[in-house]
Amino acid sequence: MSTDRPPLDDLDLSNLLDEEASQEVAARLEGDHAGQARLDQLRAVRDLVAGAEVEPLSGDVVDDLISTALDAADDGSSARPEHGLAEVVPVPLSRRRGGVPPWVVAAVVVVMVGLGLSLVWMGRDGGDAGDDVAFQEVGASISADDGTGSDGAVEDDSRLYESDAAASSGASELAPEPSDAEGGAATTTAPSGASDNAPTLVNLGEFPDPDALREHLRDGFPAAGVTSTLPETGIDDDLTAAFRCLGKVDGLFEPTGEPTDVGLAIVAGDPTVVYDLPYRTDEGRDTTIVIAVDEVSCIPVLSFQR
Amino acid sequence: MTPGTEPVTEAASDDAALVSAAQSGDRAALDRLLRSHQARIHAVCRRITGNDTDALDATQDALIAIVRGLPRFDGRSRFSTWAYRIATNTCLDELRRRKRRPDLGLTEDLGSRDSDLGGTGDGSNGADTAPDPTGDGVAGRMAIDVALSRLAPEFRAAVVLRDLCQLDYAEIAEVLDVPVGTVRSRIARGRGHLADLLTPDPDGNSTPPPERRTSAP
Repeated sequence: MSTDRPPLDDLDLSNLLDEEASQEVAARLEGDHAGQARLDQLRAVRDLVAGAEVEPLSGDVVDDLISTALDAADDGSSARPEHGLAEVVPVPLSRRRGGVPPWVVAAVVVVMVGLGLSLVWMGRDGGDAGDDVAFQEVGASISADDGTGSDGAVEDDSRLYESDAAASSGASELAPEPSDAEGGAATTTAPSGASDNAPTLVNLGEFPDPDALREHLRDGFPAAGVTSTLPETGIDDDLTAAFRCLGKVDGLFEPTGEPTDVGLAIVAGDPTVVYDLPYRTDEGRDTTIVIAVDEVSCIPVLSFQR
Repeated sequence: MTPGTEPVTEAASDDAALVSAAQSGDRAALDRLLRSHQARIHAVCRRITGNDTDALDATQDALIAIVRGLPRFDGRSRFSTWAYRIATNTCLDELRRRKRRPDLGLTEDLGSRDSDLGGTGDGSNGADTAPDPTGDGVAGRMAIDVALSRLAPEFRAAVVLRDLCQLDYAEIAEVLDVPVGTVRSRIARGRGHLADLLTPDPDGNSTPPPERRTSAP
């Protein structure tokens, strides 16, 4: 009869330490000197974690923590504590820095590639008057991406994305994420060709005013949308609208990079795009700037540093 | 006894009464409930976030979340377990938000940190200068801070909930919203990695030997 058994591993020994191991495992430890030594190490670690005290907070800090929490219960919002949470600082509009984030440039390039493919396709089938009209609409949509177009152009732009992406094997697309394909998307992905780290459009929900949105975003950008679908904005392609407004945001503020998060909210009944952008203060401190803009006009309705 | 440690049954009984009163609008009861748990919540946050500033932020956020969520607390789990769940998730959110490793407030380079872990890295004077990671005091706290900071947050949370909060595996599974088997694995691997980091090998180095046995992922 073979008595060869595998040595006890950390899982066995950790279970032993917590009295969660079987009797068979405990019996195997009897003749396993290496296992016993390892068990002693794990026990020492456990005791160290259990015994390493955290220096208690001072009474004043505790009072502040508790009163802030209680205030939150009273008014339904969290008051700003005074001991180190992120500050909400109004940010002045700044001069245009020049330059457009690379992922926006890439998105425009994708549109132009789609346009080229469309032209090739139309030319192969023989153009007619209808094709000429389509061409003009496409031209308008590119102007919109440049920050100067109309919302109607955005709609046309969206249609081109979807059709041409499907026909051009690997080109970007504005389709919902696969898991949400049936019931509408909680989020909408940015064109894949735009950037490897292109943010996802998140449904942030509805807010009575910008202050409520500010409170919602004060501590961070939510990782997931609040509902299974994007809010109804009346705009056919929210993602393209978000791209369009980003060009203006970049001109008004001086973010130091691409947006880390982009969301869509309804604020006081108006569709609003929200960006989380890396930002450097005048003092040289790297922080995050949160900017919300009206989705139609791209005019900022809220901005603060986090 | 670490801050907030109380006999479990007595504390749970007190909690139930305080929760009931607080849910009925008794502000004094809510105040007392928060005060009785803030120390342990802060300790959890301190261990998970790895630094004082983030721990304070997370503690504040957790207390606010507890206050706001209390009307929906149904008592199916212990209040402390529920509060730990909120605190742990708040801390993990905090870490995700910051997208950085915990700042330990230390200015030393890695070599100095290795010293704090019980080995100097060069083996020359470790026996004289390395703090005993199993000892008490500042050195021990620094050692465990540094070692914990090297665990992935999910593993760190599992170890802290087990060894600091003394939750059982089922409670940790509830807090972390993962199966019990995952809890076992995370605790075992977390402890194993901490042991490798904190236990000097015979040469005085804290780096684990390559053939150290570890559990399967």
